[in-house]
Amino acid sequence: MSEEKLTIVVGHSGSGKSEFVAGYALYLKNHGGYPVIADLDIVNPYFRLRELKEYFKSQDIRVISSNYEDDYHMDMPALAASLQTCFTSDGKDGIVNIVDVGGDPSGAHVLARYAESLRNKTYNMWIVVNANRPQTANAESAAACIAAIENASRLKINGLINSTHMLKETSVDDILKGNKLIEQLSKITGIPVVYTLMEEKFEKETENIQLSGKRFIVKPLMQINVMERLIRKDRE
Amino acid sequence: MTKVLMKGNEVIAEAALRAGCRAFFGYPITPQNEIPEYFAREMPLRNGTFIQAESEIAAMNMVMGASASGARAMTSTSGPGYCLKLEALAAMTLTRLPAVVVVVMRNGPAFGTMNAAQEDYRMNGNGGYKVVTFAPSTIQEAADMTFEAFDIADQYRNPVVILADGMIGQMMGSVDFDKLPAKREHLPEKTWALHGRGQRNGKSEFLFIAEGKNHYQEKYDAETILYPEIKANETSVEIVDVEDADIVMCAYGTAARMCVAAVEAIGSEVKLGLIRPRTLWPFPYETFGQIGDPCKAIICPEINIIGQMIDDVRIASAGRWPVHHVGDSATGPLTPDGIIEKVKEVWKEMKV
Repeated sequence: MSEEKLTIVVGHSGSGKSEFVAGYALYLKNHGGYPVIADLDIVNPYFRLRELKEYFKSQDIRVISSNYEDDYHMDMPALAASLQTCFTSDGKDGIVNIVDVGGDPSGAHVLARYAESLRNKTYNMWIVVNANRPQTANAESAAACIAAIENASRLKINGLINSTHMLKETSVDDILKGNKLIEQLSKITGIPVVYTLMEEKFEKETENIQLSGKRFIVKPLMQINVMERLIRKDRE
Repeated sequence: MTKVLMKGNEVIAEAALRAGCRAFFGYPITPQNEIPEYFAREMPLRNGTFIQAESEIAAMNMVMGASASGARAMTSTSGPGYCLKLEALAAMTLTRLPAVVVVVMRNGPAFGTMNAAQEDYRMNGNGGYKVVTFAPSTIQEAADMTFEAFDIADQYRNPVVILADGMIGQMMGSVDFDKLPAKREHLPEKTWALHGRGQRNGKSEFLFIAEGKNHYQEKYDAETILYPEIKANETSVEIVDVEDADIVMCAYGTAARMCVAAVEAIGSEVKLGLIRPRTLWPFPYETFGQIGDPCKAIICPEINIIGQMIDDVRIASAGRWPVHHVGDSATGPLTPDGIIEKVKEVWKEMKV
């Protein structure tokens, strides 16, 4: 992993992008950084990081999303002007920008609007892959997904993340299935594997297993079942 | 096949394809957009037709046309679009044309917001028609119901509606397409369908609409033959612990899942039962006869204001128990906490 000041996270819808971004922001915060989350998801109506805004506020992490910050359930794909700073910031004062992009090429389209700002700059652009999603279930289709996202965003992906899970039904087998896929994908595309994502409970079980990339432990904030999310939302 | 992880909307589209749907006509609206997007991608690969129509009205009339030619046809929308599809839907019940209409409900009135809701329960019925209406509560159920909907539509020559709330359409879940319900056998042959003349050797026309006395005859047959048959065969409901419950909840879709969360939270304090209609029409009225003596009240959680299904719950209750609504609050949609609060409130009143 390189310590870039900008990390863009893309992937097929429902792969776990927001989950990773949430976990990554907390990780950077706990390691002395000042992460700013840019929620660029304008294709999904629900399950977006902005819904955890209050939580991130409590963690002293800023979330930038839509112009309609307080009423994001309006059906308007509006982007806040302040999002531009995430792409042009020089990373002074330890600020690290993490950009959560909407799913699929359609979600990545919005990145093209910022592509010019990134010319001659270095950044991470990582794709989150879940082998249990039918559209990225094998290396060929995942490679096609990468090509389509690169085409739509006019940016190049330079890191792979294995995020293979089945929500609450996830087992170690899922992680291994994803590991196999991500290794093949890395071979086909020449893009290195950055992380293997897993929940805390699998850390011990997989400690003697060779996995691609670093292990990244996430506490499920987004992907926990929707009812718990609703309960939590109400109590926060 | 093994389980895969999919969004509710994607699952609905895939299940329809597996049921043999090869004609989809739609118009975009949140929170159902993944359905037409899925068809737009898959239909060309599976020898089907996808058309993004110029409006919801056009889309529904295209469904009517495709159905008249014998195809398994479908459309999907949300509340505002459903309003526009209703005339053609009513016409299809009159002309006895099968189709599947998926409504992924959002928060109205009209464009409202994108929030999930259960606000379109009472939308249809112009002219007195009835359509089987499914209410999925899980991702797997969304697949099962969509798959079965096509068989039911063909069996009775009557459209079927899938009434899913936005949460079911948008949430991810595991689904196993090998576990779809069995295909129904002995479905009536579509001898009435228009296949085209010439080489296709079809008939040139078919008068779908009965006139004069026949019009009344058709409606009379629907009342006395078709609808009773559907009621007898297709009513579907899940019943949990109603025999010894102090309070019985009746809810569908995501609201029913919230009820399960409420049972987990306070089930040890109050004995709670649940009636979860899987079909909203036919509504499982008879189920309420299974409610045991300890029951003092019914609570009907819905993701709306005032309550819509609650009217059917009151009819089913027939004055035996007080029926309480709990729904959206001043700050947002129904939550499990809102249900828990209501249960506690009703329970307190009961004990006084």
